[in-house]
Amino acid sequence: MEGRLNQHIENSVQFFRLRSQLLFAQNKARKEIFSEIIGESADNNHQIRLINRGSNQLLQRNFIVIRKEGLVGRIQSVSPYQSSVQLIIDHRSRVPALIQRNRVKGLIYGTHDGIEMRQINQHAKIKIGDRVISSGLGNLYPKGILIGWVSGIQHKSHELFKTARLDSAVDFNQIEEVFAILPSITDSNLSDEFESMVE
Amino acid sequence: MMRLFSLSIGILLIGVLMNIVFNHYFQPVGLKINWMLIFMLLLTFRHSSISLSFLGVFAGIILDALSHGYIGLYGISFFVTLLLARQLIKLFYANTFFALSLAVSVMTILEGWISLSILSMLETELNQSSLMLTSTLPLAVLHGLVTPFILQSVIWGEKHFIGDTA
Repeated sequence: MEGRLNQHIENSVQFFRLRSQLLFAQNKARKEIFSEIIGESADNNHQIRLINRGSNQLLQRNFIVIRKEGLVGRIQSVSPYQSSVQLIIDHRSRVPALIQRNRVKGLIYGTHDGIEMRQINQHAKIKIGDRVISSGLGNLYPKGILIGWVSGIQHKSHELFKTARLDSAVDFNQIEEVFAILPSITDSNLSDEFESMVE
Repeated sequence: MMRLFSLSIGILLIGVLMNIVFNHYFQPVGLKINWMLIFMLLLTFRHSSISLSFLGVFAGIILDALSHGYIGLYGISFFVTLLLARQLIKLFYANTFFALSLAVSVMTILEGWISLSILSMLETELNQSSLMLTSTLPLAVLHGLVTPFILQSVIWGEKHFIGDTA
């Protein structure tokens, strides 16, 4: 009798542990909203694209935009039926990132026609072809989204940091459709606003 | 004067449409031609009216809205460029296709430099020299190449809407 009770308690503990793990995993499975590119900035100094989804489709400022190839950018502003997306190649864009192979951190800067990873530790060993993913620092871009590959490394002896040129995973001249990520319940800052809006 | 202003507004609206629609399909070497700037420069070179400089502010603000950047950036750069263009035309006679193309190219470089200077004040890590080389200079060449065609349409518009005063 004592043995069977102990077994039930053990099963119960296991159930709640697994349940919380499954709920955590379920929360992390983000909902994505399919959007089409319907326009772009009219000048040569900004890299902005317009998409055909807005606040009526629950999009908000700072939601992340991706494609299956990798990270595209973030939503800069929303109106009821369209939003403007700041691409990561825009010179105002900054994305915390890390090199997947050795977890070296840096910051992705847009250079208008491409991207660079700057503020890399000068002693870090990076190689051409290394995959670069978002690091999740700053709580804006989710961790683990592919950004690109290292295509060149710059480091001068008097500089504190290395800079790596990257080949972007996404061809920004060819994009026609993107996915906007709705934050999961566990994504703290954004989800508060999101939940209140859903309610 | 009123006819010139009406014509300028009409041409400006055509420039806005071309910036929105035409640039979506036509981007030589990946650059968007600034039709509004070309139209406004040509009108300023041909008529040298101060009202065109102020209309340039309006054109610049429209471009600011379309570019989703800082409101006022192109408003300022267009205004200063058109004011200088108005002074420039007093220094030499530019009414041939080649001279106007050259003048539009030079003023495009100036406008690019002004807008990038303002941007670099707002964003400290902007590589202004790189953008000047990769974006503004090729754009100035493109503007110079399309100017004769735009000039033809402006002359056509003047003949029909201003008549003998053009």
